Amino acid sequence: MMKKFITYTALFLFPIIVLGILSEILIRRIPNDYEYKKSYLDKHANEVSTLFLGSSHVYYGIDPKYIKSSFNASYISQSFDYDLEILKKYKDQWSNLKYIVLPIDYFSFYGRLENSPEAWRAKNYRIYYDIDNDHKIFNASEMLSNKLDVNLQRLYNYYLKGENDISCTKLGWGSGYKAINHKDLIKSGVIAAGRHTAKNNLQYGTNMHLLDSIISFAEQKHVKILLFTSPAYKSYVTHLSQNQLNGTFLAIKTINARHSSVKYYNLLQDSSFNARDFYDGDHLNEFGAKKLSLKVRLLLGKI
Amino acid sequence: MLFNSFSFAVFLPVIFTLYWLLGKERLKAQNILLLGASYFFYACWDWRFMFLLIFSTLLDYFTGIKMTESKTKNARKFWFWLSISINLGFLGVFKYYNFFADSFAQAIANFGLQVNPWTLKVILPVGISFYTFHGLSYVIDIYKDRIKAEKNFIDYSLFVSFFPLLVAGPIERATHLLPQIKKERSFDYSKAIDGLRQILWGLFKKIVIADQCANYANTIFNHSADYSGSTLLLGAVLFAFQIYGDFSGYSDIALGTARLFGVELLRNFAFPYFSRDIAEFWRRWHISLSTWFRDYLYIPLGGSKGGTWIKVRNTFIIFLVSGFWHGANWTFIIWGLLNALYIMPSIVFSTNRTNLDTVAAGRSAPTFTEFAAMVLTFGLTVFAWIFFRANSVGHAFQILSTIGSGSLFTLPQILPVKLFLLLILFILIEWNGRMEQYAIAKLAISWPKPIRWGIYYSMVLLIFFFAGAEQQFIYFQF
Repeated sequence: MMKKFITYTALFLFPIIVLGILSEILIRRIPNDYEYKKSYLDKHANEVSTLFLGSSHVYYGIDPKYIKSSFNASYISQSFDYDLEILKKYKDQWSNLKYIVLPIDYFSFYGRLENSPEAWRAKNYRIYYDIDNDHKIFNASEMLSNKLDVNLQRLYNYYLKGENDISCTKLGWGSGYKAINHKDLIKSGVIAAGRHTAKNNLQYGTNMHLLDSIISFAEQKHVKILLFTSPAYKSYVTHLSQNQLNGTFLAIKTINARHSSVKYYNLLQDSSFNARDFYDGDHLNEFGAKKLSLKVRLLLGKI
Repeated sequence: MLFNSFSFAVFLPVIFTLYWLLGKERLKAQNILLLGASYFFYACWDWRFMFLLIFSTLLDYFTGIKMTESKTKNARKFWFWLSISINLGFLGVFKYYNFFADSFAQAIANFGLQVNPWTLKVILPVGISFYTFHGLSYVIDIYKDRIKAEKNFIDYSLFVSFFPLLVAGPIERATHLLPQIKKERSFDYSKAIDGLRQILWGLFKKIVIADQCANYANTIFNHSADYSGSTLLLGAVLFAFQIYGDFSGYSDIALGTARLFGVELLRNFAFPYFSRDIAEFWRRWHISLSTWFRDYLYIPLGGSKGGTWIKVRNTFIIFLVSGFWHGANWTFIIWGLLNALYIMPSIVFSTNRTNLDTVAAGRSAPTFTEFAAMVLTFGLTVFAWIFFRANSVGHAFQILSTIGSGSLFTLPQILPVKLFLLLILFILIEWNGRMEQYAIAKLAISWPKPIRWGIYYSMVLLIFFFAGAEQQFIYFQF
């Protein structure tokens, strides 16, 4: 009886498992940003002199083509823990690294990728970067970590329509936020501010420690750090919680007091950015990205 | 560890294989394995609360023995009340303390006095309401001489902590589960297949129905001020399907899982939305809790004996307690009271046992009267669910006032057509299987295997299609 049960169960599951494995293999072969960035760093980490880390504000906001020998290794919702792991992963290859540019935004100390609505992205670091920060089993698989319809769409787009998942340029900049497709700046700013306002400060201490570790890592390698708060549209800024904002500035003050090698610039309400530079309430479009990239180049020259 | 998680998909086959490898001759080893697995399952939520679970188990185990061994009535009473008060004390501290402290402060504030209540920053231990009720029924049954105390600590602990029912029921009785734990269990092919089928149906209800309804219901309830009356009504109806799919789906997975180990758990749902009156609804919804309240509260209070006034009083008490059992919030209490009001006419006129059979038994369609009765009962239930789901009583009234406005007669701002189609399919399957233990128990059972398997594969496909991030089960918070 048990033999019959096992046989029938195995027979029933067999096509599901085979299809699952096949789909997993096919999905992993689809070129994507994470895999691209990892392979770029594998080959060129020793040539990079300025490295950009952080979340979508940098991914869409800084185009490395304006800064010599730089690379944008940031990504959407990439938190300090992943920034640190990327640095550590290539620790023996940063022979030319002079600057690390890192955004300190309103949400930077109050959340991490694994606690955010974008937590599903953690699997990309596990699968393509070999960085496993949250130790969840399903993050080792594309099929188990994403909805079937999303995966089927990706398979269809790549294998039948020839479209891959790469949305960044050769130097890692996210070029997808075009001015022509801009969103309602007021509405999106209000929504983003709400989304970025934390319910508690449970992650604050951990994030402080992680930032400290990033800076210590850089100091050991004699790499300078430029921290900055990304520009945002007024609809976003006016809807931020003053408490959380104060907490962020307090953290920066503490970090600055501990590490003299760190320079910080607050560009949150920088007057050189106007409505035409924003894709939505808290992200720059290609024009804003050029402006910010040139500004960061200028700031790097000062440190 | 959630039933709808990858971890559980690994955990279950491992425990299942080890369990049957031990063989029925080694019952003690099987029970130790199940107990270890249950504690591991619970520790995956929060290992710290393991101590509370073990303490509660030890308490009821020892007080049970002490009651049986007591030579005097007073000693017996002492051990009984010790167990009851400590059990309810823990439940009170973890679940209700902050509610009472805040409510007291608010009441005082009405008289112009300000107090800052000392509230506890505690997390509600998962399943505390369920395993406390397990323990209470055991202790009460011993006190009432319905059962003898269980001497075997492993067997008793497994009765309290058996992982399929540990965090959200069904609320078992010692008279039903303990004998199964003590008896040799042999592998039964048809029961095991039936268990898998029920797990599949439970997953379908949770992931395809409940979670999809939740996407819309949560959006509508969380932004209720932005939506029209028709949209809010739609949100309430979707919540009704969400909570049914979620909780009955959980129960199906629990029952199916237990059956894989040769254990039959109490049935928890019997197609409640096909009820023709509220009394029937409560015989079909969360059956293990309803019968618990009937046996351990309603009947000891006098039940239906002693005239109409006693019946009315007792009915109000059990619905009030039932609402409070769900959580320390006035919304749950109002939900309970509403249900008490709904059921009251049938209590007063003694018509609460009119619909004891299944609707349209032996027929494929209901009569118009049956259909109208089902729609009315469903409507009343949806109305009460608004209080259950709302964040506060004020929130519930805001929703109801919008539903009562002219915007009820406009087109809803959200029209999830695909979800409507899924719900129609779901209702048809449930209707077709309403005479069975669960909807697909006999679905296509006599059809050729390829067709039957085709149906199961379609369900698996839909589950994977809709599965996203693991969603908690609603009843874990109770």
